[in-house]
Amino acid sequence: MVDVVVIGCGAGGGVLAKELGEAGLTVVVLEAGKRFTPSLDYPTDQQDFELRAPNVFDPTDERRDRYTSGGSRGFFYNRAKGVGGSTLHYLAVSPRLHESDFRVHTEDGVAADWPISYADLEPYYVLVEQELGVSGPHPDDANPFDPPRSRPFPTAAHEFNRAGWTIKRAADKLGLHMVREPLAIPTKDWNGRPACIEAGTCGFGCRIRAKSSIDVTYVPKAEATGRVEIRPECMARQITVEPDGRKVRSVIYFDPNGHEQEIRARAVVVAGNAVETSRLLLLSKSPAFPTGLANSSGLLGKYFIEHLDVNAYGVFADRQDPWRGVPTGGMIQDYYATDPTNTFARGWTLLLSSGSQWPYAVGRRVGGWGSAHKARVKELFGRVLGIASVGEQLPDVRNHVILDPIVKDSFGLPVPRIVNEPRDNDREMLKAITGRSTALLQAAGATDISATYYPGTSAHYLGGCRMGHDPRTSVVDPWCRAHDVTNLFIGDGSVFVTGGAVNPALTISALATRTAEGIVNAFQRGDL
Amino acid sequence: MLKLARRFAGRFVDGAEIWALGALSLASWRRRRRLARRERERPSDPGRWFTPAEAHVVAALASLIVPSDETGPGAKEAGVTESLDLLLAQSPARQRLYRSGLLACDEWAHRRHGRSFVELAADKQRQLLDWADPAPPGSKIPSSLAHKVWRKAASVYRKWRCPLVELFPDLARDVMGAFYTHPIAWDWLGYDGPPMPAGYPDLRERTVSPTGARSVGHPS
Repeated sequence: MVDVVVIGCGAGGGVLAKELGEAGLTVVVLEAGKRFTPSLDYPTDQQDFELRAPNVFDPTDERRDRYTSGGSRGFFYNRAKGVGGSTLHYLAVSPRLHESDFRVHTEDGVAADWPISYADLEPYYVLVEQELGVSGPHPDDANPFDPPRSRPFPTAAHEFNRAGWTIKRAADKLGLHMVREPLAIPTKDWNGRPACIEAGTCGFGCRIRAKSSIDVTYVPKAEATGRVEIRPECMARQITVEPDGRKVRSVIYFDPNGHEQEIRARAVVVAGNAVETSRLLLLSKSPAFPTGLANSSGLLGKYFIEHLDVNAYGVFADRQDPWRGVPTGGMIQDYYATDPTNTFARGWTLLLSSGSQWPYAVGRRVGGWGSAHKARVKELFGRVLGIASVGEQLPDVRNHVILDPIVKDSFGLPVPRIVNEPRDNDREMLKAITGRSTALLQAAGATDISATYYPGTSAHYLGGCRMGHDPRTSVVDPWCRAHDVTNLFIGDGSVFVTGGAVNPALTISALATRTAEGIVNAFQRGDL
Repeated sequence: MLKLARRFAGRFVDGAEIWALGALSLASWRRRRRLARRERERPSDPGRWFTPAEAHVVAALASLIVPSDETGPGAKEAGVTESLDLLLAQSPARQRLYRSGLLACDEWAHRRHGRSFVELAADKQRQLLDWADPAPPGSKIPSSLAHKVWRKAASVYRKWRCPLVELFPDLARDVMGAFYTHPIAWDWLGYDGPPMPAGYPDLRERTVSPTGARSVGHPS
């Protein structure tokens, strides 16, 4: 029997695998997706890269990733399955949560407080940043809104490219503090991997392994312990419990040939991302847990959060050519903290978004065909910049993940059904974000400004198994152990109580590092 | 419960279209005969799929979708027909769509103008594309089940009447895919790709393309 089964090998699961393995525990990681080989699988050096590179992480059977959504506008659910999880295609933006994010209720009278503080998590942020070689500004150029740091960034910040300077000049004019965002993309050689060469293809997988995705950082170290076995293309379908219901017993999963297997473990960590984790626990019903594993609170799948991702675009008279450089080009957190003069609580981060400005992408976005279409593409090419937002959506019990009653995936399992609507606070914030981003683009000299928002496009999925002291109002305790089940842990963004207004991967990895420490201590105490 | 039933009905309507089109196309024996005749003319070269007649129609369509004009080069200069030929040879799913869609162009041309598609002047050819474009600006998303059923019925009729309607979105995507990934288009736009393996370590425009072939012409 193995010590720990970890379900999911992404920003949470991959970190747990290494930490637990290095502490001497035996680990099996069940990952639904494949293992990728950067030098072979990412065709970003090809003439037709625009046609081939975007599909690399798609499943061979599209039914594998089926989902449904409710709400008045639906929800766009986007993630990559594979060894490395969504870090395979993420843009590596890695800021920390702010101190206020852990006590939103105390400070602003909305949502709920986390049962831990920023100070509790700070040492783990340091460990993860060091492992990933996170790049960030020199203390002299620091983001004035940064939370306190006990250590500087491991590598120096990337330079602004032409597009970045265009927006930075506008930010300066408006009195905003645009800085280089922290990126899990080292600017010098790091742990045997080369420094970034600013190719701009992070979203298609990094061919040279410069981007610090989990598969080229934590995974090799986990496997080097000799105690961690990663099993790709293994889809967990149920966690079984002992007859008394107090402990998990095994995980039933489909192996790469589609045959059912069962693996017993002393402890199980679920880290499949907030949607899949709630889904698996909902699939794991038993007499002890008729509504889903560890769901005595009734809150499993509830308080599901994403970020408000408003994308504002503007057209510039001069060429900006944003594809030279990493896909995000700078960050502004002047709107992060709650401003009492607003009609809403909390705030957002702004990011310059330089992706998808290559020729075919532009050609596809311009509607129509014929001479007018061609002329418009030529007009726009290299002249469009985007400002994206990471806006804090408040947790709402009505936003949830459940099992769809009709639709099944390629394994015959009920697909997740996601309901996430912007609620009152969110709608007010959306208006403000749109206004501020438009003003920023205008100040930079853009014309033809437009802004869109669609639920789900942030690709940041959080909540569903929130942390708390009280088992009646939370699913896991402050060490991410399920209140109801002493050897079940959650290792991904499901545990977030509030979403903050930053990309969550770094925080997910920091929490996972801390959760691993708790698991190791529990083994050493003889609890597991 | 009613919400669930409506969802079910909506999904049924979506699926029913495929069956309806299949049934209707089987019913047209003349069309089936013409298609069978074309199958006998397929090239034996594994990198090609279009019959000679189809290749001419594709070339005409591609030149309407991405024309060669005063703004710059078009599908012709970028060898789009040849690229699509290779693409089709490897894609049975596309073959089904293109097969009936390309035949439909000639059927329409004979019906309307008494000659084959490639014999028509460009402005007449463009009329067919204007009619076949299934996503004209301003089209609304159906709101009620009844509206959805009506829209689907109208769509099935149009696609049966002229299968180019069903082909057109994929054709436009494939033509633009072949054009905008060609070095001629990159040169015309002033794009210094591909991103790898060279990257942009100094964030500056490359003066020589990574293949060393030509200087990419756009002033910084």
